[in-house]
Amino acid sequence: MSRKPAVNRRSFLKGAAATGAAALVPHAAANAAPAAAPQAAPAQGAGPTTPPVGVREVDPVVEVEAGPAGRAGSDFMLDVLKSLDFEYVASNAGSSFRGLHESIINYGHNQSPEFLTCCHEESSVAMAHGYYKAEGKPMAVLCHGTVGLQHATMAVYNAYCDRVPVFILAGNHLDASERGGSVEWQHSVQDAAALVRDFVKWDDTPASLGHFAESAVRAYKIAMTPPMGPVVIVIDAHLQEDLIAPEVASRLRVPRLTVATPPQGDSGAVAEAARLLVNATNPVIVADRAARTPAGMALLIELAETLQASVIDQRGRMNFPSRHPLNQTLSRQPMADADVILGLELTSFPRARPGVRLISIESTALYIKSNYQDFQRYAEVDVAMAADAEATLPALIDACRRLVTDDRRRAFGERRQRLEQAHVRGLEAARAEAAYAWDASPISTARLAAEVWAQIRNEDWSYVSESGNTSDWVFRLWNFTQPYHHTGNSSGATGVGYGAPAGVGGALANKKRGRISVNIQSDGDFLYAPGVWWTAAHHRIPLLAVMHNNRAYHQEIMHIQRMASWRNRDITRAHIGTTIENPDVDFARIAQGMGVHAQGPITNPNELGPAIRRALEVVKGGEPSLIDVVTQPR
Amino acid sequence: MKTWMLMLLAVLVLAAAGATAQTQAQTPAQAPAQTTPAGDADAGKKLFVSLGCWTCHGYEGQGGAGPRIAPRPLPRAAFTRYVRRPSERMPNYPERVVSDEQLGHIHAYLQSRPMPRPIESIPLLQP
Repeated sequence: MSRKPAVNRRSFLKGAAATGAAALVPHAAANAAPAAAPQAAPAQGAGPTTPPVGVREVDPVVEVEAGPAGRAGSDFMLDVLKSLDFEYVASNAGSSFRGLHESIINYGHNQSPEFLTCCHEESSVAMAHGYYKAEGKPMAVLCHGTVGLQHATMAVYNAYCDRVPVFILAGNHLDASERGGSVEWQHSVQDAAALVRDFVKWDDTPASLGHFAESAVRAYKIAMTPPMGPVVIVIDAHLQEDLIAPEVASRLRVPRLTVATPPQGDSGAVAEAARLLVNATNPVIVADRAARTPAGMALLIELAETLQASVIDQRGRMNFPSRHPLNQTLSRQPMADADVILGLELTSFPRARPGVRLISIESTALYIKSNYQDFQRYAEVDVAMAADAEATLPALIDACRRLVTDDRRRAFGERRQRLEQAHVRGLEAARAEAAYAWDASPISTARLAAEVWAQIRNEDWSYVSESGNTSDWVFRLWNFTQPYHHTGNSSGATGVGYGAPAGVGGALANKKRGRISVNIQSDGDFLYAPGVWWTAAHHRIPLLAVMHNNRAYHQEIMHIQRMASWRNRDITRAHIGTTIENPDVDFARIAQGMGVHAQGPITNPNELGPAIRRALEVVKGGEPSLIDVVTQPR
Repeated sequence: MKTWMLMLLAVLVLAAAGATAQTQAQTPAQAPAQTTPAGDADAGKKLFVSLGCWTCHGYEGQGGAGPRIAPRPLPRAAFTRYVRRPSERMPNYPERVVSDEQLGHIHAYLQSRPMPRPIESIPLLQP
């Protein structure tokens, strides 16, 4: 590593300790006592200082005397990050990236990116995950390359499985001769990104600032090219903290970013797919992560209406309006009748009868790793396009239109009528089914979904997360029409703990649009890293969180029941290790303790509507609100 | 033994085995209808919870991960038969875990659940 700074990090920190401490003093305090004696900066791990009431991260920066010489390396790193237009950086503060942290809040005035104070790195990454799915661009995450990245791993894996870009910057102390006390040694690692290399798309450990600039821009480009995915850049503490030598400064530049166009399917394969679809008797379109952008939903509608084909939405993204007549997601019949199935960015291709012709368009075919087995069972398809589905849809629509004859058009019309009738029957059946246990306590998940829908249906709303299983009542009863109405499920592989932070991240993206963000929050998910509710309160992130509190890990109860039954053992003991009772968790009090408006536990279904109305007023005022609702299992 | 005699013997053995299996399969279906008294709904409610039926079917039997089974469950004999040999993802509940009599109580509990209100009387469920 080439480092010839005029002032190195150790001497700079020693000489600038007083200045640094003054820079940490909030605006009001600095004005009140300009001649106060310098204080030592708080040591890492020391208890937090109490800021004056009303001071927030957006306060104006206090201008203080410059350090010994010029800019620090992390100032340039921030220049690079600003060129990538990050709106936020989510982080739990850590010493291995204190240089960049300080640059963000002072050199960068804590704007673009703004520092989000998180209480756990899993929350940081999952917030970035949820934010991307609402905003369509990545959030940066700052963490220790060791203990921080270790906390972050499950959320990184979730993002990887869901093909979501997250831009992770991991601090490290590479140069052993420059490491301080034992903590810096314990926070150092030869190859920080090795921990997550199996489930990130790319990583690098830059050895110079120029290297950082190039790798950061490259990482962004890679993360945003389908199949998207998280990336890691390891940022050395010395690179951050050393001042930039003049001869280095003169060479530094921020590379220009050009995001790659997504790959489109081969024209021959597109033509063959169109031929199969147009000639099919019962074609079915199955979409999971198909709508990569808001335009994706319109394209999928266009394709479905060109063919008058059934659409099954697996909901990895907001692919298709829930009440479009061709939406047959609630019915098993289309898959049973299908003779041609088009799969668009599927996690797993559905099993089909022998003889059914299968067409796959998936960008994941372009980038697969071997260790983690998220690539699923090998699908024996007839046409396999290693391409981005949304980018391929225009060509596929055109190809289909060219093949449609008058005879086929008549057949399509008849099919449309049949599917419309089936769709209406499905909606009617869902409403009739919802009436069962309507007045029950614990509250039915159908009642829960209907009560929330009644309050938000006339608002500009966005369903930002779901954790736990509510028997799909939200999708059976709500009318999803806009691309932003659902940020999409995370992926089949989602580990518990994604829902709350992803909901907060999605709500943060929606905040500037004044959109009402809604999260159906399960109890088990809440308990993983509940500090994210403090983050939501602290940053005033408006989110309506309505709990599906069934006081158990019900999926696991069923697994244990099945095991006991299979082994001819006692099935009545399946509650051991799978329930969250004795004591019941008081979620409202936990949330209140973190500064979140909260109500509950609500067990009477007649009290739910008024509680949601109260919560909605709080959310409209720009704050998060949580309602603990004790519910039926599913 | 001649080959034709061996074949005849095999056919007779298979036929006898098939008849036995058929008899065994029919027994559970017929027995409850003939011998089991009406169940106790209160006892059935306790069993419904302790056996974990509610985790998939809901406390009211309204359905969830499993299908709706109340207030009109399968007829008693078919109900018993299904619990003993379920299809799809449901674990089987053998007689050692829940007796026919106990299943009768559960059946009575499910039948005791109220019918849903007319959908027209629920404003939140209107289109």
